[in-house]
Amino acid sequence: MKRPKNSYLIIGGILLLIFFNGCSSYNSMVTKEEGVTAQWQQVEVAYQARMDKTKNLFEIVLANADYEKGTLKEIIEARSNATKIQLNVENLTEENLAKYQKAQDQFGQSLGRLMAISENYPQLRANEAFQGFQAQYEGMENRIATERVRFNEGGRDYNTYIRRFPRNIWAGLFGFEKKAYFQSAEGAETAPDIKSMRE
Amino acid sequence: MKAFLLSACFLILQFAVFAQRPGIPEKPNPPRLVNNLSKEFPDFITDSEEAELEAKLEAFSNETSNQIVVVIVDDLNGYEPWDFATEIGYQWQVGQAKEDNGVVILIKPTGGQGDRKTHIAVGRGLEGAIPDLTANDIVNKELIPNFKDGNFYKGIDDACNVIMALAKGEYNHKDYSKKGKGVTGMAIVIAVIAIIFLLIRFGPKGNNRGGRGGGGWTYGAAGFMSGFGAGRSSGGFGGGSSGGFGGFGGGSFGGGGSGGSW
Repeated sequence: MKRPKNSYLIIGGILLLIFFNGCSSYNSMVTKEEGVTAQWQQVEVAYQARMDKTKNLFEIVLANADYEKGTLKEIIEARSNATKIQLNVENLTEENLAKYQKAQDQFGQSLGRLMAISENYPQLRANEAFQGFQAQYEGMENRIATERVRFNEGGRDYNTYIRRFPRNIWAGLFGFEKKAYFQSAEGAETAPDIKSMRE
Repeated sequence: MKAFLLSACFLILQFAVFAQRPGIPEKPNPPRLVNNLSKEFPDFITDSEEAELEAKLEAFSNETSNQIVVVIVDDLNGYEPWDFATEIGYQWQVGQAKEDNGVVILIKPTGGQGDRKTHIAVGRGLEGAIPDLTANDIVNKELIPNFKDGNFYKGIDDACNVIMALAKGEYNHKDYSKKGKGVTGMAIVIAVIAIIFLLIRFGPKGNNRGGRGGGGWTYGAAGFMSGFGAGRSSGGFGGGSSGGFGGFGGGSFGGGGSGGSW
């Protein structure tokens, strides 16, 4: 009589432990995934700010600089290309993120070139609207870099969490998938340093 | 008992290590707002100046919950100044969690001319009150000219005064940017007191026919003054005896702010 009662208790206890572990793992995964989602939105906001602030830039440049049409065309194309590629937070796969990042980086780099070349156009540099943009440019790029680093940090935290035993079992069961990272491309992590470009 | 031990083990296993970028100074313990970590320039600001500024910033933190942190370092460990300052704000969690109202003033006084860097990182919640352009103004009007003259404490103190006034809304960033040289919060306070004084002194007396209107002036001014006094005294209470402040509150930084070199 004694033995079965004890073993039931033990089995019941183990099942209960597993259940609780599953619950707490699930909840933590949800929390961490939400963190990644929230951070992705911050990334989008930072990129979108760059989109919005460059909206009027081309007209200013056209009006004030006898500009090389090729460079301007390139950056306009890069911008519209980057506008087209939107990435929903549910589809944060490596492939999608790489595509998104490539488009944004291309735009960022051509913007950096434009800012560097603008140094050769005194009339443009004297333009008030352009000065305003120039002053915001550095902060804009800093914000993008910051949000990207945070996104990678959050993603790494989440990925490490779901891939550890025994949580990987729960993650598989509940369908939590690995999140992609931003890859650090050459010169894309930080704002291009205009001063060093000039020298 | 066994079950308890097992669940304890599981709990410990579940703790995920928070990924942090290396090379950022550790959060001071006990928490301090003014941190001179420089070994090359231990007297960039003197101990008494440091204590004075600490008391002032603690009182400000207790009064308004805005937190201004000053960090002086020898080396940025390969980071850009903006990145280093932002990361300190983020990792130390300067400011309150909901308001994100922290500011980090980073100073790296080592190196030759042009290598000496300073940066003001602005928490997400204060980016409206202190936009990048304004942060840049503070750097160029308060910090760098004073640093160039060797008035290190004055530079930091003036910058803190401007940031405090902007964070409190005593004047806004547009007003500040118009000024040639930064007007400190104290000057505005003095001006306000002077105006009130003049109102009380000359307001009702010169207005005999409109007696009621004159009375209103006095009451209005007196009410304003007592309100002002109350605000100040509660601040004094918070910053008072124990000398400590509640610690950093969980504020976040998104890369706002601006810097310069001298």
